[in-house]
Amino acid sequence: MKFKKLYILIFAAMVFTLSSCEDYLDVDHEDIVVAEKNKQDYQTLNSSVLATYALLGDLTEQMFLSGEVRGELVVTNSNANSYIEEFNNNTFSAANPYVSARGFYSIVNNTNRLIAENKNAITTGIIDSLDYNALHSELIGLRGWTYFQILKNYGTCKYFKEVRKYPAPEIQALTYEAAVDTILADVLAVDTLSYSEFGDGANSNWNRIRVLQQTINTLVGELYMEKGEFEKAALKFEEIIRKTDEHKSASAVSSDNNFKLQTYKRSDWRSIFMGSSSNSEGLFWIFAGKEYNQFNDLQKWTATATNGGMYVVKPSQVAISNFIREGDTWRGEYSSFKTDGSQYYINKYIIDRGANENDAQFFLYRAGRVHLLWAECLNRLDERTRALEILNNGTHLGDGIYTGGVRNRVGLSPIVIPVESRDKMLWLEDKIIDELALETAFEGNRWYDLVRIAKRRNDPEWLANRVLNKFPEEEKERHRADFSMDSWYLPVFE
Amino acid sequence: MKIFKILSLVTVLFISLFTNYIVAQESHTLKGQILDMNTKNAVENVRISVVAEKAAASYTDAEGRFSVKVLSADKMLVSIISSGYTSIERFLVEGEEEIFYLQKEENYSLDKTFTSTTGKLAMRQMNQAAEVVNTEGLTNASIESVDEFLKKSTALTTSLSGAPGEGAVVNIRGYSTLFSDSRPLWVVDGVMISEFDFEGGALRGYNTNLLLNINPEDVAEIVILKDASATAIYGSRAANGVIVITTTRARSGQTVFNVSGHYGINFEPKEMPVLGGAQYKNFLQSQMFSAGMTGMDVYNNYPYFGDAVSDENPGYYNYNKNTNWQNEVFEAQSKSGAKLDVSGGDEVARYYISGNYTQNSGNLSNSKNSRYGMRINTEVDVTSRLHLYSNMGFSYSNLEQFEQGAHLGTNPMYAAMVKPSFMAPFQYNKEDVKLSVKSDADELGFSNPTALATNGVGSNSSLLFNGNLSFLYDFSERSYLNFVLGLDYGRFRDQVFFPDWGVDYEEDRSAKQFVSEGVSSLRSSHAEITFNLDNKSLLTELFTMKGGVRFNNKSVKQDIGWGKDTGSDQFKTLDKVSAVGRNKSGYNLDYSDIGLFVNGNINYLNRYFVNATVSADMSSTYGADAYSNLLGSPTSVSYALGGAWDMANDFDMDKQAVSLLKLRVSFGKVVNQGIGAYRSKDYYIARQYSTVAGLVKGNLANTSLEGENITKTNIGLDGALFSSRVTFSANYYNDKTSNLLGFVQLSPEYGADEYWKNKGNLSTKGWELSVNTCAIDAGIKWTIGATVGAYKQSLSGLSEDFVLDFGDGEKLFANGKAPGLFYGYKMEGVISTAQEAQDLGLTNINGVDFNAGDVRFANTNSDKVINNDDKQNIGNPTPDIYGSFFSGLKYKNFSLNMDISYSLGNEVYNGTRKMLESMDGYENQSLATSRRWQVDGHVTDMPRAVYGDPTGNSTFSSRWIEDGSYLRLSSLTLAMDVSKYVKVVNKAQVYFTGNNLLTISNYKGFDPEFAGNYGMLYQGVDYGKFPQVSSFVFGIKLGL
Repeated sequence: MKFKKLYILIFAAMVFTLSSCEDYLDVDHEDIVVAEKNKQDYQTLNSSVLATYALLGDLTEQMFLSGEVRGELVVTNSNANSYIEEFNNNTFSAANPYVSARGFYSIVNNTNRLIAENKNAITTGIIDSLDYNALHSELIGLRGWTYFQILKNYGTCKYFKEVRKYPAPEIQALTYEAAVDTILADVLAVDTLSYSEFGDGANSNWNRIRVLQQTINTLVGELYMEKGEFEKAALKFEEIIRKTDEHKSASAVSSDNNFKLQTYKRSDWRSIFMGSSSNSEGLFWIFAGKEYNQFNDLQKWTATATNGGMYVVKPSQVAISNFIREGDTWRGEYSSFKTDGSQYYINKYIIDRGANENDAQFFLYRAGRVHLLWAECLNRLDERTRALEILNNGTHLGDGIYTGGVRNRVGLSPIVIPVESRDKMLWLEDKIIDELALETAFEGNRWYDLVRIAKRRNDPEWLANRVLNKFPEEEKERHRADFSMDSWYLPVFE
Repeated sequence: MKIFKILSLVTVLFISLFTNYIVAQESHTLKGQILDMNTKNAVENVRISVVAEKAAASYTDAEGRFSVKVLSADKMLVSIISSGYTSIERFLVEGEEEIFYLQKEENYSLDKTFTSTTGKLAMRQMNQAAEVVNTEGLTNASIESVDEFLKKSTALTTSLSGAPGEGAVVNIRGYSTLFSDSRPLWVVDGVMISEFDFEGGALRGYNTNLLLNINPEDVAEIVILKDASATAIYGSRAANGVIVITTTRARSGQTVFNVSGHYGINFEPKEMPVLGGAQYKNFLQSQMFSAGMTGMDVYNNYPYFGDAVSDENPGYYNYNKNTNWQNEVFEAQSKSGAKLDVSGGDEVARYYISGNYTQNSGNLSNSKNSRYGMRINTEVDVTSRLHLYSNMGFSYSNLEQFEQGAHLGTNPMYAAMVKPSFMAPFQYNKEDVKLSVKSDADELGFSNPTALATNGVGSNSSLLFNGNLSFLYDFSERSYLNFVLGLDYGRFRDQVFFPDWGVDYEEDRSAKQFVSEGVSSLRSSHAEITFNLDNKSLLTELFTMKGGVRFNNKSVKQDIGWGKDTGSDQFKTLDKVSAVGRNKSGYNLDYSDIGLFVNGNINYLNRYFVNATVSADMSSTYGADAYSNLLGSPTSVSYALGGAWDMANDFDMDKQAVSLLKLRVSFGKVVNQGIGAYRSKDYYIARQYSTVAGLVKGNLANTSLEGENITKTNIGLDGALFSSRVTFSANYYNDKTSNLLGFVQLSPEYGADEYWKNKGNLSTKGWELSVNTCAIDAGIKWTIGATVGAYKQSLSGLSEDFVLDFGDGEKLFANGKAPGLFYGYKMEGVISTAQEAQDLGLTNINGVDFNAGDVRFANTNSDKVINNDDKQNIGNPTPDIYGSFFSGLKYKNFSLNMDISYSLGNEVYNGTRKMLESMDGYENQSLATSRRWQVDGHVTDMPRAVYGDPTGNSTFSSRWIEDGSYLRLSSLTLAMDVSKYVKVVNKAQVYFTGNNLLTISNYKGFDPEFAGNYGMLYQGVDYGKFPQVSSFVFGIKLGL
């Protein structure tokens, strides 16, 4: 009977279709990796750590706005949307997408997950302790750095070491001081030696775009500064500058000088901002690359329409006068800002780029700034001579190693403390802050620098007076209340 | 297998209960009379056969009387069959000599059958809220896609656009959800079709249509299933109702050929009135001044404002024309088509094969659309017990059009409206001689719409297949097993190209040429095994049952690549784009589900009906911690219980006056599993940083995420009055979605944007009515039909009210309110004087003061600042009432059919008008802007023109919300049967059809009927879809 065979066939087909409900429902999602199916080998862990930096990339615009546009060096143009305008005025609405701390906490949650997975991987013997240590220290460092950004922006943070599930019990936010201590303790708990260094590993292109020893040292230095422990901070900064020398390999010799302010001199100073080659004085920056479709809005926001941009922010008159007053052309109109004939624009994200390439790197730490932070600490430690050396013509680090001076490398005359100045420390601190405005203008640090000093001096008016200068004379007083101590930190909208 | 154990147990139980209800007794005689329903004359030679006793049968005499001897009970079911009449089944009682009326086959009859959830049923036995759509006129080349035909039903059906074949949004009883699947389930020849909205394809503004492979001419029947009783058997994919399409069946007997063809003209749409050359020039100049230019600036930068041609102004003639740009891009074009079908076969194998070709060039210059389709339906009786059915539809279509939507530079329709009317499609030299060179995009940044139409590409080609193979095995006369395998496949390929010359691509002005190409595909497979207790040749059975299991698997993919600068306008493909700026996007989604279902029906004497359904579903979309693991995995349960009672008999009503008065009640809960492919999973996504890609957390998972529950209550009344000359079906329904999928905004430390959660309710209450009457039947026959529906919706239980952005504006989702209300400022007028402005003292969100000539927005909280707090409900896109009319006149060989559809009380956002009346840039504007505010004291409803619109006069507000009500003559067909005159054929008909000939509406856009997309968020949002095409078609149909 041939039909018998057909029945058997149909039956077989039915049985086949019915083989297992669970397998049938367990579809193979191609867009995502379901958590329980994720692998935890070194490759996966390592690449996931790197992917976490992409989340940092998402925050570029936000960090630029909160760190720079709130300060006195940048103002908005009429075509800025209301959200960007809010940063200029330092008043915020809940709808503002650039105000939320969500992106930072997303990095925290991801590092927490990876820390746990990394621990699990070494417990189960999937990776060796060398790999474990390298990943662990990097993750702790990245989390610490991220928490410090949350702290600087919001004045408080919710500190947790696990992946947040919902719903979960509320976490008490830490005070600023407690948070600094917590972050510091967390970062210091990891042996700094387990951090990778420049020149380590096969791919030196990654050196400056992931958290390595230099980044951690800078972070620790900054945290000590927050605590007022300037001696420890100064040691850290000195170590960063010195360290590159101790560990130099044959291939690293030339780039070592980058960190000693000896490479990017005068007309070369602008090369710091050219492209993202590892041959730069950057210690840590956010990568962007048009060849990988990794963009940010900085070029678009700062370029004028003639250069294909939207020109939503521009250098303030204060910023421009700073350069002109000092006669600082190398860092001024030659590099940091420019004019297209009719209007000034911020140039740091445009240097060496074609129109609309939109892949400018965003510096988080670089040598120029580290030197000035060091000088700031030394000044507070009353080591003013050395502070001035760093600020002016450079200093001897011992063992015949010299580092360049911030002003000397761009051909500016040295700062001399006038004999008649009453409080030499405050006078020099103001000078260092002024110098930061020249060296690191538009790089996303200004607001935090101002808050740090105002806080240290307990002088909110100092900050307000500086920032209000960016507004037209008649508008200044209207804005004053918005730059009081209460508004140093961004509001947290729940 | 657990599943089968449960199933067989239930089956055995039911069989044992109902098998012995007919018990043999002694001989009885049953008598009656058969009359024609309309003429009341006796019908001779009608065969009366007793269902339960094969031997008992009889024929009517000349007076229509009959008598038949039976052995068993006194109440017997007989089937009454006569050629030319619709067969009926009736209960005969000994001693009662009843009169039965037969209805001519061509007339509407309650005894006509339709495909119900469980099998064939007569209309009078319908005990669920099901609706058989009037398919008359389906073959008159008036529609491209089968879904558009639902305009003749009580389902709210709105064509997406005038792009040929884009289809329609079909909405059965409102949107049941905010974020889950909102489209009804389509079941074609027993196989579930997976509809999917390929959003964000390369061809922007175009919605792909998976139903395109069903040629409307191949459709035999469309049934809409609405209440829980009707849909629960389809399980968790049927929450939004079901549309069951049956294509033409194979028929045994003589081989029949049908040939048809049509040819028609599509008219140009009505144009938007815009400023002419001189008027626009004035407007442009004042805008330039408003932008801060001085007279010198204007004349230096734009020398064409000069008076005459000169060496400084050689292009004078290029800028002093008066072009009707819309006229340049709209063009009357042709549509045509041909179809051939063959059916035939013998006792063993039967077939229906059809092939068709249609082309419809729409009404845009250079647009084209062609489609090839084929269908093969076969039936083979392998043995007397085993039958094999197969239905296959295949189509290839190619749409060459342009992108739709609010893209000023690249949607030719939009480009034509805003293009300066003093410019011209071609260049002119100094002597005012027209050159053969097209004008480039102008200095103001506007594309030359004709360059776009000539050299631009916006095409979508689709390859669609759906087919099924089913094996039916008869265990006995009234029990069978059915095994169905189905496959649904669709592949869409988009190609988009914008040339450099003549086009301004506003999204990336650095691009010369722009190319985007994409492929979207969907594969869905379906397997279903059912056990049925049902006599296929009998309509009236005390008990029928259907139970089984089904498997669905669906995979959806989309890949899009784009890039710019191909080197030449001749190169239009992706492989030519430059390395910089190449980019891609895409997604892959996979779904599968398993459903177990059982349905039972009791029909007592065709008067009392009870039905019950239970369906258990497991879906890959459910969270791992959702539901209980009833069947091994998280399982949702849908159920329904329904009943109906034909009161006409019990209340001794006059059978002529009231032949049916059936009350229906049903209640049930159905589940919507369409909550997103992986919203309930804890997952990671890939992110690339520099050269390396790794995994980051993709979401904050809610592994307890469940489907939405929709409890549906339906009360219906079906009636047939005056010898069935008037039939109606009315329904009141009360649906409530609970477990509504929504998201929670989280505090920042969760590091995620949202958390999906089941929270909230959506209530839908409404009614619908369809009426069919045969108004006149005396020589002239006139039938009139109407459908009408209305519903109201309301949200409750949301954790918080929220608004969603649809691009140009926002919609409100708030507790106690209808979902998806337009949400924005309310315009109260235009500030007439500076004094008034000062008295009002209003400023906008950026601190800019409102002056004379600006819009006066309602400041609801009196804080003098127009901001978010002043936004309010400014319109509801859901119609108050909607429906259709049908009229059919027949006289001798002529027939005149008319279809009207309407929608009343729906408020819509007119994005086209916003673009044409914003007066904030250099775009050409509508004629209405000539009444704009100009001097202090001017009282008008049109604000002033200001470059850049600093006060936000053109912000989304009630200014752009209009009444979208319309009444449209969607088709008018005059047909003539010419069989008598054409001897060589059996059947011959010629017809003339006018489509969309008349639309009555106050709407100021192109067309009041449009749909931006399938979801609720885009309901009533008109952002530049191509308007419906009006056409006039001549066609011919031949039967051989």
